[in-house]
Amino acid sequence: MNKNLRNVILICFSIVLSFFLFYFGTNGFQAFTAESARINRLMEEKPIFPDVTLEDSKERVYPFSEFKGKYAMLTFIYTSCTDVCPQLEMNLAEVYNQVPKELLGEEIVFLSVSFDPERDNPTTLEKYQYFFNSDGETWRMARINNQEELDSLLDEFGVIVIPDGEGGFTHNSAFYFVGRDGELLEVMDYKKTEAAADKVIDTLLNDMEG
Amino acid sequence: MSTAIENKKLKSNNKLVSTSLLLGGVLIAVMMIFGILMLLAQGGVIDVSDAAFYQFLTIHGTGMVGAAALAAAGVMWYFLNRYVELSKKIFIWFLGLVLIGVVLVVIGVFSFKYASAWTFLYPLPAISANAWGVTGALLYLFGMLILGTGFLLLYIDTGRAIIKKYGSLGKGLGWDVLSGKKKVSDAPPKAVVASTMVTIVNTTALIAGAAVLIMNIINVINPSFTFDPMLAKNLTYAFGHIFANAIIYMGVIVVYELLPKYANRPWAVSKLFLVAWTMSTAFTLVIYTHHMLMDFAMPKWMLIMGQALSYANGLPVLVVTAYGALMVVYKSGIKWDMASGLAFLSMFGWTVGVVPAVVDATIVVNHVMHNTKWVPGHFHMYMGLGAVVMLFSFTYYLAKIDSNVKESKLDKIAFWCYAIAMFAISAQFLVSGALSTPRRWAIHYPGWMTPAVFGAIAGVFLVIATTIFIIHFVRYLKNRGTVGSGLNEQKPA
Amino acid sequence: MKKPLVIGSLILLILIIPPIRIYMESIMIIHMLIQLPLLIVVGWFIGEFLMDKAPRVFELLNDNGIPGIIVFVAITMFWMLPRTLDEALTFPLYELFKFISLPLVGILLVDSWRKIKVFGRVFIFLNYLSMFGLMGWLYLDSPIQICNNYLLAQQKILGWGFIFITALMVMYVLQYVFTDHSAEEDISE
Repeated sequence: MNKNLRNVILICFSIVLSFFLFYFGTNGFQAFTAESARINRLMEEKPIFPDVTLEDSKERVYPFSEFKGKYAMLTFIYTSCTDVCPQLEMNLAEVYNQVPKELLGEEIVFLSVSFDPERDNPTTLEKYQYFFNSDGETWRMARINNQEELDSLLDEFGVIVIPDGEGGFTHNSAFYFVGRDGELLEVMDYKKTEAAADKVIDTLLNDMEG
Repeated sequence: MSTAIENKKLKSNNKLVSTSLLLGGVLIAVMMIFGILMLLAQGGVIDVSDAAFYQFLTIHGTGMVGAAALAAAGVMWYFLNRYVELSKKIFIWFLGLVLIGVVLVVIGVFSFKYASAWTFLYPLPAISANAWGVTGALLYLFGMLILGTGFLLLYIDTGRAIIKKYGSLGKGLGWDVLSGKKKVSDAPPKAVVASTMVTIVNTTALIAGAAVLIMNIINVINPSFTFDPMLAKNLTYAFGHIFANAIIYMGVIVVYELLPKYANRPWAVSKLFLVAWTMSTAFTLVIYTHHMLMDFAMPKWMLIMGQALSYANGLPVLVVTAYGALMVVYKSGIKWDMASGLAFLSMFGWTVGVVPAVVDATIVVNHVMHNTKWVPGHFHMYMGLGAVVMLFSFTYYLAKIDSNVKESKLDKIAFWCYAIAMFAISAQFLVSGALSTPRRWAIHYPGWMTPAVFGAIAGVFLVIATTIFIIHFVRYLKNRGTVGSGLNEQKPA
Repeated sequence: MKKPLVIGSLILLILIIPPIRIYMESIMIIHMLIQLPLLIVVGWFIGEFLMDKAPRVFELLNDNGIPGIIVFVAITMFWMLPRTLDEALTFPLYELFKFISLPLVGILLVDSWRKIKVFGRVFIFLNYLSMFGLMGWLYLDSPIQICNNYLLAQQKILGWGFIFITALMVMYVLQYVFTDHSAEEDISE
């Protein structure tokens, strides 16, 4: 074969190869971080919320199935968090305030789950609630006491929590939108509150009409 | 090597260099039209939507800097190639990549409404309030990246060739002469000194530019990756300011090469000349900070340095060049034609153009003036009467030594028409600036409109003059190789 | 001439030993800036051996060095994506790909580096210079945790690591262009 032609073909081949490497490595240029890849996978798998036992700020203990038949909007937090959690909760409050009052508690509950059951006892949660105007009823804050149950939930929903050795945790943050049967509908960017609120309200209204 | 082969090689080099100048020249003329449209819109004469205005602004800025840099690189390559061995293949790659880059930028701006000005200041490419989408931003940013890659290839080659012939870039700047290891008479030629300077500053600029362009691309693709905007601005201007500045340092080579030949007098390299170029090399790298005098978050020492060195930046080279040019021409009985006339005009434009820059680089003034049309006034004078004139000087020079195309009266008229029109446009900007007219505004209050209309009218004459320049160059291209002048150059052995 | 093969395989073996592998991957900066480059070094040594054994193959597949360098750039960039570092810890398939692809690009690099001459080397070098600078900036500046498996603090250390490498590269360039090379003959394009 002609030497120059072979070189050109090989160069083209290597470019195509590189393209495919990146194409498949990023799910078609969609996911550049493991986090976005994780969310993409979650949305495909649509895991069911495991039936864990919650203890909320009013010291009530009940299984998650208590919310069956209602939509749920979730975040995962710990109250000693000084960086992302306050912002995450602030943004959740923004979404909460946009949902029509009559739907709150009836069609949808807001729930902030703490993955730090040791420190986040009901009293602490009650205090934390106050900062975000959460009423403890339509927007509840709760911990999961059983470590096994907690781990299974974090695992199922792909929440990665790493203790940093100084009492804090590094963890990924997002809004988790869960359907009436506890199935995960969508993982949403917590920085885009408008988009999240639109999505939630649209889903609720459509569902009620339909 | 026999003279015949040598000549043939020169001929094919001329063709390549002409391509870059023709492309650059035509682009410059087209960009002038966008300039006129913007001035007419600001003057309230025509109705241009705001979105379209900013598209024009973006293409005008990108196009002018890109086209002038392209043509100036051609000039530099032409003269440097006489002293060191450059690769033709890489110049072709350079032209090809620049062309691809230009096409992507044009598509991004006009088909996808990308309009963040040529400074693509972070985070504007990603946050456009829906004025343009991801596609437009990516086309523009990738276009600039490819364009920059083309230039980087070129400068790697010039750097390599200079190091091969002279040993190092330091020696290319004549440091061994300054340190006394070498006689002044053995100093590198002026074209080499200037090319070394441009190689150093532009390679630095392009590396900073590549980083900030890819950073913007990452941010456009994935907006949750954010970056420090202050650092982004620093890198953006380290790229943009240096790159735009370097145009004149490439173009000035034509003055160095042409005037002594016309005046039939040597223009020897002196120690002062070498010191001036070394100083300008260093200063050019750091003075971009004068774009940030209004950013209070910047460290104060950087701002003060930006101000102080801004005064010092262009001056050394300007002074040795302007003084040298005067000395060469003075009472030499030089024969004035288009090439030498334009070369001389460029020295005038450069000198005058620096004055408003020095005024603007003063922190106190800058706070008030930097966002007014004063600044466009400065760089239109500096680029329009300085750098671009050098480029056209070269086109006339090339036509003269490589063809029998004669200059006509029309060319002389175009010369004066260009000089006066460009001066009028710059003055119009400066007056607007003095009236506190903000720059980059699509709509003007009635009180600001008169200078804009005046500028637009001058712009029409400018386009006519430029077209005449280009027509002359096209006539040369058609008659290339019909040597009619005794000035034909030989490559020195 | 079996020496390079022995050295290469030895480094690879050491890197594969589970406790060493797991330790290296537990610290972000060691994972990215020591383990990954070492894997390329493994390839470099093995490449030297292979070039000696089967020069025909390299001539056939990588005659002018450009296909090899393209694949090299693509795969190294791939492993600089924040995602891949993470996935290598989570998915064994990724980990396997890491241990295969990086030595492979090492083999390609040793062959291509000779063939692309000074011009190509400078171009590649400058590209990596700006890329490393950018990576440093990305890891230092990012307000979000880029990798799920590593703490924010580790991310910052990695950022400084990149900046440090960039600084070294800049200093190398400066000393190269400002020291004398007139005695050398191979600076052709």
